[in-house]
Amino acid sequence: MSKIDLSLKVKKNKILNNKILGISLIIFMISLCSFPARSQVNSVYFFEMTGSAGDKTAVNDNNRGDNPFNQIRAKWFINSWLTDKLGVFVKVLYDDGIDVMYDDKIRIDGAYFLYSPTSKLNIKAGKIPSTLGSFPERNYLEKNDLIGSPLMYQYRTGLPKGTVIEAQDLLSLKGAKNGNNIIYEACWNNGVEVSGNNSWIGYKLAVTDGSLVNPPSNSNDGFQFMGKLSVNKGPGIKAGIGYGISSYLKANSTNIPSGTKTEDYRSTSIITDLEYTAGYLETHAEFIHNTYDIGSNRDEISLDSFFVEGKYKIKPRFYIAARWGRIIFEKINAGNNSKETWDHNITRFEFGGGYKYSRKTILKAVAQYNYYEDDVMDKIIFYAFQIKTEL
Amino acid sequence: MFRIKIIILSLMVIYNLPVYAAGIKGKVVINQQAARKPSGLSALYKKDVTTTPAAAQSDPMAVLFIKDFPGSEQPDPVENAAIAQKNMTFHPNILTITVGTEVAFPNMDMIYHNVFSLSETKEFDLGRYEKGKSKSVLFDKSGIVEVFCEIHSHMHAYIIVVPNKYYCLTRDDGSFEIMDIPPGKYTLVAWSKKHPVKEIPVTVTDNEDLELTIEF
Ligand SMILES: [Cu+2]
Repeated sequence: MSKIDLSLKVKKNKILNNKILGISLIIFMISLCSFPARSQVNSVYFFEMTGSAGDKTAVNDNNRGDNPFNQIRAKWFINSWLTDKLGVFVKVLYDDGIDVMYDDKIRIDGAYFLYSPTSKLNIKAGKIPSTLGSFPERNYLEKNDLIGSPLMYQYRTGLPKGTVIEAQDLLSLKGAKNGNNIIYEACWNNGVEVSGNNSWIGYKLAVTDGSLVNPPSNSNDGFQFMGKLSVNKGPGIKAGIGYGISSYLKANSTNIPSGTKTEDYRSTSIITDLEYTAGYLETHAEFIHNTYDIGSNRDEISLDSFFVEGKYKIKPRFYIAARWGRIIFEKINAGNNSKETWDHNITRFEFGGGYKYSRKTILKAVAQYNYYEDDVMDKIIFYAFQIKTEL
Repeated sequence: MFRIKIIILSLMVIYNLPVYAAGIKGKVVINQQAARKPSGLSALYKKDVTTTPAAAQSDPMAVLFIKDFPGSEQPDPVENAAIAQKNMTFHPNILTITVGTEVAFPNMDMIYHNVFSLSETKEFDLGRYEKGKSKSVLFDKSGIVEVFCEIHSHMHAYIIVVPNKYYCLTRDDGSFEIMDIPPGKYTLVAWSKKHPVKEIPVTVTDNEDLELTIEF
């Protein structure tokens, strides 16, 4: 029975995805036809071929089976400025490693309108990239110097996405790696974002459906509110702080206490980011503190995660880069007056280098080490090599 | 009369005086000037880079030079050669210099740029530096150098490093002339942005200018 349920859900999700894909394409085509005089469609394609050795790379799987270490991936960015203030942007992802049982190999990651009358006011509407943090922006512009993502943007905790669970029961799901995310980057939400900046300060405010901790929660009736403030100190230092609150459970979640709605279960995120660049050096650091309401009393549990990252160019064609990140889960009551983290704390270290074969083709080689504290499969180490080219 | 001419020419050579010789003249015609197309993701998100920047309007249609002039005489380096980064554009967009010239790359914007080139003629990466600062590169080999900014992929400039003093830039109407070339058989190189380089065998005599129309 549960097997049938699962396949039905998968099918429903696929229909929903196809619907979003179809609607986005229609919007795009109508937009182009309505502004024939000015429209010029611009495209950029990225093609990635990756090979890996060592333990499985599945620890980097995103929710829908896409994985930056999958063998063949392609991204297609399309844009058109319909007027000098209004543009439309679409990003399509193809990932050969996606299991067609669960999702399509090709999908529209984002499709949105950008209305930009001045630099102090930009309005994005549609399926929009993440408002919080700074890695999503870099990754969206294909500026990830390594191959994998920071833990906080990809990792799946043991906290279930579609059921209310008591704290004690959560301990038995430690290491399940199929639950809620921390601040998910690989799937975007539908909504509106207003942003602006001058030379030293910037702001972003957004309302979307779903949640950055659980994208399928876009099926519930709640909203996600996000805000970010950023400051530039000279050209080389950027700092940002953001806050987000959302209803993170999927619609029709089970075990909802009577008198309570799915939407009452909230998650919050406080996230700070810091960037320092100069000469041949580029460094980034981000820290996040998340809370999730769980159990019949909607008690809060929390986690902290961070990463620091550096890149140094040694030669015009050659750079080295490394990223170290950790997730630290809150300790909760485990009975017998003892306390335990509600999932295994995890450390990820990825390091490697890149060689620019040409301006548009880069070869990357990385090693990634994941260490779970007190888990059976406590260490995962693998090596990967990637050829990435822009067409 | 012929004898007198030979004597005068010989004396000029002996005393290292310039020998008058004819030149190459003509016109460059570009049938379909390729539109400046932005490239890369950062260009995709900038609405103002799809049009030709003002700097490009003063660019020459083409640069012409003699490739294989015999002898090892080094041309004088171009003085104060520079490409500035201003308003997220390279100024000038096309710079012609002689081999041995040092080019400065001042940043005049509040933001960082990262000037680099992976061209065969010269590979360099200047890293990031702030407004008012500059770094220089010595171009010690002749050829075409494509210059980019790593941060803003739409920023693109060209440096034409010519091997000798026999070179010219087209005038506004596309006409050009390289004068006082000693007679001989050479290869004339014609370069124009967004077009394949043309190499034309030429014979320069001492009594008549060579007239050419070069189509791109
Ligand atoms: Cu730049």
